[in-house]
Amino acid sequence: MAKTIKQTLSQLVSLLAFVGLINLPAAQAQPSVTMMNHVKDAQEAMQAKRYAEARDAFRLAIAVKDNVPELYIGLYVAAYQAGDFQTVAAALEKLFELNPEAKNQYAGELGEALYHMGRYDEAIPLLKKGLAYIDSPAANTPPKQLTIKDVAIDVPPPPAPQTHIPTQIASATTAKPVDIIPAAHKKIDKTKLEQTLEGAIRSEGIVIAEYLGYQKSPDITYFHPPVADFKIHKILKGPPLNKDLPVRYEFHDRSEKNMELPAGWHFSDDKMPEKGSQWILFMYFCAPHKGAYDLYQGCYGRLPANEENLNRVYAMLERERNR
Amino acid sequence: MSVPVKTLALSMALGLLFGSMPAVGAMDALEKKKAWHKCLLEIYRSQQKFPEMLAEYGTLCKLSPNDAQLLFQYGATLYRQGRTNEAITQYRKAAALNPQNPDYQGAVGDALAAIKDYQGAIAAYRKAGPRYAPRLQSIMQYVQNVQQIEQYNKEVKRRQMEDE
Repeated sequence: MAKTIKQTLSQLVSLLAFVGLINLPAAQAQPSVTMMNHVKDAQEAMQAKRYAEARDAFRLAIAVKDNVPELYIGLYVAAYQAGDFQTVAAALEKLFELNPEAKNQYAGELGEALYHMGRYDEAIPLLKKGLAYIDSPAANTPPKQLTIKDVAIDVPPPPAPQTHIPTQIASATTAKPVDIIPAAHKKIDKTKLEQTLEGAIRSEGIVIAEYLGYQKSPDITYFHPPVADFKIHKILKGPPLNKDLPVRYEFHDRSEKNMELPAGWHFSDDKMPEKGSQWILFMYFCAPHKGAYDLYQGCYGRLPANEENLNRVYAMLERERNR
Repeated sequence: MSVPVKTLALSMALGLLFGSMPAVGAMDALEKKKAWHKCLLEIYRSQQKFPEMLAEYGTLCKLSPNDAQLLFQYGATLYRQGRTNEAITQYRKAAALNPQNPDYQGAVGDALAAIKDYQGAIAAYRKAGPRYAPRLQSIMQYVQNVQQIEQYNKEVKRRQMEDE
């Protein structure tokens, strides 16, 4: 048993060393390791031509870290091979948000995905743009390496030298990290920029659903929300889903200012909506993660289904369909 | 100072993981062009935009000059647009590339019959084989009837001249 633990720790240290996170406190490094494991799973699935599995692994990686352009390229490649063009389009649109320079390079691919989705009017200009790009000198020069500077912004700084503890046992003793990230990198809350209806409308699935209740659990906290049970009444966009929709009921919208626990916050039934209330739910990917669907940008992807919100959503959907 | 190192390491790690992955991005540029022109072709077909459709066919045929089926479809589209002579050219190219396919020869026969080149049509139907035998019979019968009528008309004319 001890030998197994020792081996596991050894492997973990090797992996951390490999991804360059050995200096981080384990609690902070863990998400990136998890992401890399998902990417590795995806790569293995791709090599074995299990493309749907690879797509799902990339989705899991994105659920851990949603601002790495390479992951969206991986998701697009896997989804393309799996023939899931809705995901191809969603992945490329997100890639363009993160890296606008990729718009020229992948315009044709997005056009092809939109063609397969029957969105012909949107597909035509993109396909033409892609064909123009492919004949341009830019297509023959090696593409500029996508940077993952966004990851750098999010990477927590290393612990102060005096508190340096081997990574695998430091999780419970995370000293307040020294702020070494340049202020210029931190001043823009990029997640907040994405919190617009224009962003939400690009979600893979949008539904109108009724809140039925939540699944009781002893460890519900602000950052460990309950799973809420919804019943889909209408699918506004996306693939057909089971009417019974378990949704992770987040209490914050993932913007940086909301990444701290509000003072005096305790979970109670009154934090949940009224049973029978109607909601518009935006699911960036229509695939459950750990038994529940994640909404677009946390609680931002959950709007009361009142007339005003419905009108706005319908108008945006109309515009998106280019009608 | 360690942040750029971590960034680099993560980049490298992702690069390594992605490195051996078969990428759609690595698809041959020519294949991409063909796929996207086919998308445009199908869109224009659904929208019944025939000039744009024919332009896409023209481009695709340049990209795939040995694709007999594509040439045949191009010919069929031209034929439906009333551009029979151009259709015959494409049908003949398809038939030359794949002489075993009776439909290509049959299409040449149909198009030639449409411009009243019956001898040419008969020759094409003969090459097309048994599937086009009924059409061959039919057109041969028709040609025979026309010849009989011409013969009859000539005879009538000759007798009229003799009576006069």
